[in-house]
Amino acid sequence: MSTPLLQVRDLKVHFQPPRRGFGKTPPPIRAVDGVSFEVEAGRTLGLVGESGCGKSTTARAILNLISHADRGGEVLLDGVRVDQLSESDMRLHRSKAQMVFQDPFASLNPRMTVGKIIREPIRNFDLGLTQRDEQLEVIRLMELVGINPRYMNRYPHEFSGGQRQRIGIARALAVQPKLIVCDEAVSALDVSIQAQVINLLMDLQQKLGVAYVFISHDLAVVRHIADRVGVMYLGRIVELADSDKLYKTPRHPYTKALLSAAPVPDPEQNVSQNRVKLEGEVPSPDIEYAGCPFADRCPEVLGHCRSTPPTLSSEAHRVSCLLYEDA
Amino acid sequence: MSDVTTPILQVQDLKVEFHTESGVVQAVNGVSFDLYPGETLGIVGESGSGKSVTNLTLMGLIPQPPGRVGGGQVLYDGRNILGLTQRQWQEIRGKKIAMIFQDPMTALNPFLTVEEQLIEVTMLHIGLNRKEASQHAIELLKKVGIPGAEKRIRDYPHQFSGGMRQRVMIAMAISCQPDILIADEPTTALDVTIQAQILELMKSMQEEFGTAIIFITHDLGVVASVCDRVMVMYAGRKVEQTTTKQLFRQPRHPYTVGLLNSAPRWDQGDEDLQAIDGQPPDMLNLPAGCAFHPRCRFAEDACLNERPSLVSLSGDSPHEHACRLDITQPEESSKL
Repeated sequence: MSTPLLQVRDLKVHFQPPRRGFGKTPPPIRAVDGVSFEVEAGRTLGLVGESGCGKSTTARAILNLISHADRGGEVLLDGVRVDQLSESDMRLHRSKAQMVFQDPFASLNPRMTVGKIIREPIRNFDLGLTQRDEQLEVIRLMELVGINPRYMNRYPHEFSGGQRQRIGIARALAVQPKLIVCDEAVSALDVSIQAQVINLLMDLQQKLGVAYVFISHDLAVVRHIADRVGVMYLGRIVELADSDKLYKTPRHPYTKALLSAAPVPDPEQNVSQNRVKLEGEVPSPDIEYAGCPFADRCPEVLGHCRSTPPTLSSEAHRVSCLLYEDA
Repeated sequence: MSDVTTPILQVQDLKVEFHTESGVVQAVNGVSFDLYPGETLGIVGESGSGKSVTNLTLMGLIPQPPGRVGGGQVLYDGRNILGLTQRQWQEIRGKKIAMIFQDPMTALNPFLTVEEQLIEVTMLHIGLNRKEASQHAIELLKKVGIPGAEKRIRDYPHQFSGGMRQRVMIAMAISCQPDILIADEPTTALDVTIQAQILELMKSMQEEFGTAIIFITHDLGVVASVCDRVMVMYAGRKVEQTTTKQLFRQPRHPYTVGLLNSAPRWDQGDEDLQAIDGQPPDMLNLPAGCAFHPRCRFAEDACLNERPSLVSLSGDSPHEHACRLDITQPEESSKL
């Protein structure tokens, strides 16, 4: 097997809050605390979890958008340690990985026409195109994402949310990246439009062979788009498996709870559902746990869970839980 | 649940318009529905379909101008509340009809403690004195599941998490035991495990007080799990309404079919999502005939000119739909 396109090894992002006055230095916020995964070329990895679980921070770390001081571990993109690159080397490398953001209203410059927005990365990375070829490329990209190229000279506010998200995707594709990180890319859209954008992303993958890291809090959306899914809790991956396996036979108690809390659009299904109820809320990420960070809320907690840290198992369906470890 | 007694709220041919620089927007265009005591009526539709404007009208909260109630009536307790003065509204708003908003951070006042915000309602509406109101507020916070209510009541909204803030909002909304609770996307900003907690809380409050709930949401999963009946809105009009079971089993409007087929499900992952083509309508420039026809895969020539009227089918599950065609028979196979 060839080397994966993206390899993340023991990624840690700890933010140090500033000291207040003469007080004690507060403990660091462990936003990401030892995350490892791989993404094959042309495939999709989904990352799901609740707010504050570290999924967006992981996304930013992949794209080297986190200060070196806060970060540990390794990120290899196309065989290169991007976490060690200097600012200028990283600039060249950025054409390999692009990002599509959540808010299609905030992520497009309102003073630039759509044509300019899509052309900008082509110029930035100096792909050596003549002005005419640039224009043709913009037209090609707009057609690719299903926006009529006639609208090239319009401004973002003239488009609906779904269309703006398509423009954001065209901009990401402009430099022919191998990887696109989508951070809640369809979360702000209405259901009918959301389905259009999901289908577009999947078509583009078929056509162009681009890989995605798809981050979302929506379990149903992730199931549709991802080949493999990682479930995050408090900065760690607690379960990582092929999408089908994870949703059909979840192993980690947190995954089970998350799935049973997600309502299904089928009134007859919901009645018979056995809910795994989670009490309380996700605790603060500034605590260092001796054992499993989920132990305090876990319905299947064992005696030694609070003292023994679980490790992510190494089989195809990976899980980080003492229930599955031989004592 | 819907066949009991008389409706507590009757909305009849409600029209709400907004005057903007570019023209008049008919945000709500002739919507009628009844709400019965103790039931949960879901309202679904895309952004701009008029679901929130409908409900702000029921609370007397449409800013006028630019808004204007262009016609129709809303009967609460047998009287039309649309013509009330501000003073008369205050007798109803918060006391008889209460509301929970999507974003508890912007709906709560950041400068006041939770206590001050909670006691304001009961002192005004039920005439409790400060001490009684305070005691009442603590009990409410306990009821909605806030640990350490006696202490937390002196906290400010920013000291609560999103889920806890939504609990505070619910406590505030139920503090006068309203007949009607309007919940506008109350769980959209919350994580799923917290959403499950809040939905359960709303259900148990409803059982205890017999409140009728209008639940506005775009999440069909939430609709399926909490609503007794559902109304589907498109471009300011009601296009379909029936019981929740019936709507999911046999939708009769192509837009509803489209919505159901485009919603991804985590328990089924293998089918392709069937998106609805095209973009949401431009409310300033609605298509002639049926507003949905440019996106409808069943559309015929007549749909382009004639606006379909609402047809009622009676039976075990009364069913209203605004479509000229009967899409349930021949196309059954193409529906997943």
